[in-house]
Amino acid sequence: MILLCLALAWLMGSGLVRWLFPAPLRSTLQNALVLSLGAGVGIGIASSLYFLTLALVGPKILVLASVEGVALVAALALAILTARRGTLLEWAPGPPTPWYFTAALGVAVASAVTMFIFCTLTKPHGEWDAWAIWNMRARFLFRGGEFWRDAFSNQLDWSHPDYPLLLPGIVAMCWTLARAESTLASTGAALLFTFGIAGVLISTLGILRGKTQALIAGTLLLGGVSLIVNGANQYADVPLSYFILATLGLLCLQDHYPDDLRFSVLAGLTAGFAAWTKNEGMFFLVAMIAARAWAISRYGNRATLAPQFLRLAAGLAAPLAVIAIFKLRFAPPNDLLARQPHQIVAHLADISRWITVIQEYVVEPFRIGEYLVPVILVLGVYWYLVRFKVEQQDRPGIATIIIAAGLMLAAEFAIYVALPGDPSWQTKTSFDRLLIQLWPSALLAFFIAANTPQLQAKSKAAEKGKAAEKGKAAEKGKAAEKGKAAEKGKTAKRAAKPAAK
Amino acid sequence: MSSHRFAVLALISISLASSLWLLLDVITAYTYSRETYAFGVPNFESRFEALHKSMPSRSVLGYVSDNPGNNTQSQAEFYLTQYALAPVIVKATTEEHFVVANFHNNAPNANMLRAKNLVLVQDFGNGVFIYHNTTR
Repeated sequence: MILLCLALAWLMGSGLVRWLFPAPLRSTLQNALVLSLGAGVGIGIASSLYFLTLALVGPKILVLASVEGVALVAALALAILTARRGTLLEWAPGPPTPWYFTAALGVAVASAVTMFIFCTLTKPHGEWDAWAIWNMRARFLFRGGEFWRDAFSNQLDWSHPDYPLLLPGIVAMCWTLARAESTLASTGAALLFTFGIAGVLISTLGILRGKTQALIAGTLLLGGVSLIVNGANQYADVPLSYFILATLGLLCLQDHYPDDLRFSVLAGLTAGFAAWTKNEGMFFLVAMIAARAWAISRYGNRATLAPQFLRLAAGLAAPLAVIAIFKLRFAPPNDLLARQPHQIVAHLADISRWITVIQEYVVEPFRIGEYLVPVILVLGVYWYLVRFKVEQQDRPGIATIIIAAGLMLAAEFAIYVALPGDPSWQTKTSFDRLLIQLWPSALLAFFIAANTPQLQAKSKAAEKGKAAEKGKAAEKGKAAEKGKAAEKGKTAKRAAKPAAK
Repeated sequence: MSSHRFAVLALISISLASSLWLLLDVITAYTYSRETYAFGVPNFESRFEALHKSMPSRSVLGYVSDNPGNNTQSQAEFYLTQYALAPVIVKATTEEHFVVANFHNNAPNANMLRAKNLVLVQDFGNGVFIYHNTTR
């Protein structure tokens, strides 16, 4: 029953996304994107509706089932009954992709799924943050009955009771509708988000840059162990990473299809769900808006700024309203913001705190993904050999990703230095997960910018063959020219002869 | 081999090797967790199950443990106790009417309990006790 609830949430999200981007029901790249985006969108909607129902009428299972059911039927009706045609999203043209790219991706998927399963079997309740924050809050919401507000009690201030409720909400919703508690809810959601990231990355790159780039990026992403392990450990950084990638990917697609502003609407919705996942999602929201405005002004068509931002705002409105209700009516003040100004000033003046954080900012990127070789070095060599070639239409999207990521890293840097207790402990326990939030989006930007590798070897024999072909053609051309000229000459002579006679 | 082909093959090989190599680690960790005493959520769930069932859903408990001071292990055990007993609120203090004890043996330190004014109410086994704070 719990898995059915999750599957229905996925179906609801996919229905809504399909309504925005209708495509024939068959195995296509567009439908892969729809299903990948549908997982997060569906979980976001279901979790928001759960919270609103709880806030308005309390823990009433019939009301909750009705509200979620109506939303599901509406999304499916929109998806099925829509008659209009939308943008058709297909593989970008490119050279044929060798078979071993697909095989490599298959091995990476199989390894990642096996790893996810074993991690989940080892820790079915997830790791530290999962049971200390997210799943514990879900237990308060579900087990608390009419006292569900105790989940946000000041007496639990160590558990950050002001954190938003996307994950606890979806888990508690599944438990409530199934009338039973099981780790299947949190594990299932973690699975959807972890592999949803791969789906969004591969399908977005497939549309923007073609099959070869998409398969290389997908294999590299899934080869990164920390994404899979953190996903299986049920950390909220992976769902946040999913929503960040979905938002930035949709904005890149918007640049490719400037006439279809539905990409911006959906990007607004996913950005809103990023903020509904974690407080860092709110940072992302602000960073994304600033980055997008600058990127369009600098590299894009300024006339598109207002229409795109209006659509973004339309998509953002509903999740932001839910977050506002939660933050204003239920959540206690944020523990970091509750610090005294003199403490912040003292921390800022402490040079050792700066050095500690800078050190971690320099070292940790070499550990991203826990690859056998530091992946940023591997990507450096890849860039050196393959090089970048950024098309004009891709520039606003890439600039948005780079600036948004830079602003998020800068904001987190300021927090590490200025606010909490021990910056060394803070960075060592959380900075790797902050990088995971941004890693899939960084890969998206890298592979949009990178040249498509030329894999068809040009052998000398083939070169010679081509040259010979060219030579023959040239010879033929010359001969034909000569022939024509001679024919012309003869004809002229023939024509001249009777006249002479 | 062209430079492009080398770049792609190197990148894919490193990705797959990393994934498969660490997959072995994950499988080993799983096997180890099956074979040995595993500290973690399932252990706390079973230890605190009887107490959880006997508590009203809305209550606040203090907390006492025989763990040394403020280290990561004692912090983790406090959080796991809260996770196991939710929606009961557990506070990291003995200044509550009832106090839940998370001990690592069934013979708690009597002097420490006396110093904190704690009197035994019920022993739930596996190092889990409920005490009453006589000053509250």
